Amino acid sequence: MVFALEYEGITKEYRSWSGRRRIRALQNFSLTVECGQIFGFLGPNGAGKSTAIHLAMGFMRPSAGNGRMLGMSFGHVRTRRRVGFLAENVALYHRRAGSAIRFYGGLSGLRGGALEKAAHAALEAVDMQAESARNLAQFSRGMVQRMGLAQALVNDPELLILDEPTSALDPAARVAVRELLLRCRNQGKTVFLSSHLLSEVELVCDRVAILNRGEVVRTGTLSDMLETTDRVEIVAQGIPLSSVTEGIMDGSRVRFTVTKGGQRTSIERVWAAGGEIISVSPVRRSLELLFLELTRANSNGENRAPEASET
Amino acid sequence: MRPVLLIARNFAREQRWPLFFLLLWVVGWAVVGLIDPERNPDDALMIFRQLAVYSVTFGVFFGSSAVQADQRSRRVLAVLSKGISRAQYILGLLMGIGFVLGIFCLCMGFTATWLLGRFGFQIGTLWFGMLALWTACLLTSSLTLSFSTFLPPLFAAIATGTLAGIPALLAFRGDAISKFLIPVYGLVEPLIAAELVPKWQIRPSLVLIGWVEIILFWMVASWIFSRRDLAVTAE
Repeated sequence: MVFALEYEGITKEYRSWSGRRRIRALQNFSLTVECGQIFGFLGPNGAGKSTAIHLAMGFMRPSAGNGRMLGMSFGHVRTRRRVGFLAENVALYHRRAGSAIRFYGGLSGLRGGALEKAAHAALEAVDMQAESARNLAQFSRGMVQRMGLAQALVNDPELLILDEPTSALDPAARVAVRELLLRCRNQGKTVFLSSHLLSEVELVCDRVAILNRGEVVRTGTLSDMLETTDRVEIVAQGIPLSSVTEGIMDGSRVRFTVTKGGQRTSIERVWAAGGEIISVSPVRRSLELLFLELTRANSNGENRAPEASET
Repeated sequence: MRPVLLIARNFAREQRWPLFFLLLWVVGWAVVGLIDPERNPDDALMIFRQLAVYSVTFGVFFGSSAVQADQRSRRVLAVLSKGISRAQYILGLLMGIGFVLGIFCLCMGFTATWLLGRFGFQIGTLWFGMLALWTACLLTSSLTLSFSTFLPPLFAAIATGTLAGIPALLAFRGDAISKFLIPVYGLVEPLIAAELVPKWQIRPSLVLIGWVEIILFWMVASWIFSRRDLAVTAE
């Protein structure tokens, strides 16, 4: 099976000029990203996210280990023609928007009518076609970021690697980018999305990896990761609030949580009191909470959280 | 090859303002020609000699800043994320520098033809001299580019000055062979020693050696650059 991205035991050390000072950005880092999904790549500042991305793009070489992108070694030149990349704080040459996208499309090997068509489509995808005659020097930070996204899309890539694609965007543009990412997935593209905006990751990603201090502390599907293992929420009606512990009234319904072990007993108690069970569902925590739990635990030197299913 | 040409064209476009100011120098020189040149043609010749030296200096300037400017601005990331190799990128920059300095040498040649030709300056030799000058500029650029892949711009410029300067110093002291090592001095020397009476000559072998070394230094620059991590500035 060809993965979109494969990191195999990669370690990356930055060394000072003299070689005395060393900073380990990634430590025995392994990760696989399947094709056709939106993969969220999370981690606090300095966790090694950008290093991992730059390694995949061939901007730097690993100190140990190896990796593949679309089945070829990291840095393989022709493979990069099948990839779209948006760097964090993207910087582009100051040209007219249309000319800039044609320039980056040309670097991807496009030419003639195909290039014109692709440049038009890329600008349209980020809603910038009306600005195609304006110079990038006159653009706001958010507009430049949208242009960065357009240059990543111009070669109709199989794999999109996006480092903080929405950090400078307004809410409306964020929604548009989210829809764009979902469209890309529906077209069979793979999206590798590094972001600090956990709410967005939660909305679009199929799978997530959380990185801390250069190591993957958790990978898995969002549903696996957000579901706690020990509590369920029960919604019942026709019983008094006093009949349950730590319950709340929600209209005529009573909402309360119990451990999974006590779920059966609680349901039977509701029935015995003449009540009706409306729903029983696992308690889900937010990605933000999970992120903080994992990154704080690791920063404090506590035991790392167990890994979820790794493909 | 097309991506290389795109990078070259883009570099020339990015450097349009420095090129404009360089050309103003040539225009200033042409103005000297308009103001009663018959009285003192040696002034025009002196400016010609100065411009020959300056153009090589511009080669060092462009060579030392090209890679570093793209890295410092992070623009290199969007370029190298496309399907181009580091060697193609360096070649694109070198061709861009060649284009900018080529325009400068061309304008200088035309002005010299008009300004100095009327005093018996041998035009055929002059244009071969312009080719030699362009070769010298590109040679210093490719040498500086290879240093700039691992040194900051100032140190790259100093290293180039040292490496191109030592053979020049030896040649100046009479060692004829050292002219051929890194023949920047050998290529420029006939121009800076040019006289109105056509007695100067440029060895074609030096131009040939110059081009071989340009390719060699491009290969060295590509080899080093492709083995180094891209040092982009932090966000």
